[in-house]
Amino acid sequence: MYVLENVLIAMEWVICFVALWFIPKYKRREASFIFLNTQFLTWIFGLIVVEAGWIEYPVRLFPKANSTSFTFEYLFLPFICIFFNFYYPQDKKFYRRVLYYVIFLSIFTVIEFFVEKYTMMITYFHWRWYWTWISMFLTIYIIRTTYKWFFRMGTPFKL
Amino acid sequence: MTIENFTFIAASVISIVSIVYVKRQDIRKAVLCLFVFQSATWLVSNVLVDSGKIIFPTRILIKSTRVDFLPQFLFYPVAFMWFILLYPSNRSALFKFLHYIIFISIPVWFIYFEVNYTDLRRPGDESVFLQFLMNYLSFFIQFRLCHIYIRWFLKEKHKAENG
Repeated sequence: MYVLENVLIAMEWVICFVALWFIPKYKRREASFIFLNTQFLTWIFGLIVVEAGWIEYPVRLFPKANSTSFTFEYLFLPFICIFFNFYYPQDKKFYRRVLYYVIFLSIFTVIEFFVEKYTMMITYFHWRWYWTWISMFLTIYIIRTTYKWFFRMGTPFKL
Repeated sequence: MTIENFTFIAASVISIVSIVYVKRQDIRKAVLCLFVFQSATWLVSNVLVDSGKIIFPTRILIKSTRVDFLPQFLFYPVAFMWFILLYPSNRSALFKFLHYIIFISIPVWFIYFEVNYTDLRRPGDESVFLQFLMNYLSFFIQFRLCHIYIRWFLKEKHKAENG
């Protein structure tokens, strides 16, 4: 039962562990900070959206302990944020940085749309794809701002 | 007000107010401590609750989680934060050991209070002594691993700054 969903969850874990090899040694501190920072936010945000009845995660890890997607919030999204920040076009023009956000978030939203449509990993109740886009933008922006503040990388709030 | 609500509010207020006393030059270290310890408590609490080892009958966010979110997200990480900020790096091993015992005792005795005086946590079938032992061991492991991470992080930072 739920073979596809369990395979996808297992793939998330495998992808994340493989992704560890793509983090340069000299950037491990930064990667670990982004990882932990993302978890700090996703834990509370994930609980709020489920508590409010906006989203449900029928098939998930630790189903008895949690109604949220532990794999996504604890592991997958933090890794996504690591690579988002590492490849961010920091020194490029403003429109390039905005485009980076738009493309990144749009790809993420499209993937989540199809996951919601064709699997039981996530179910939208009072939620739409554009809420995913907006909430992900806010999450990633906050994470990037905190990352820049922590490592003293110029103006934290600048996009 | 029930004792459970009072406990939640008191633990939250104490945690948040204590954060105000963090020195400006320690803010980044404090933030890192909060992040790393909440990561540990999140994983450990989910595993323990999912395996049926702990039950939290009264909690906030009751629909979305069966874990007691507030202590795991706020209270225990703040205890760890002060553990690191006040760590006696230049003192003897005995002093450091006592430091560990004192700070690990904070969450352990908080759990004892939760089990015996509130409905926040249901006790396991083990004896009181065994429960204390398991709690001390569990928090020692979490404190130790997070401490090792903080030391690695700050050592790398020192290397990066000095070239």
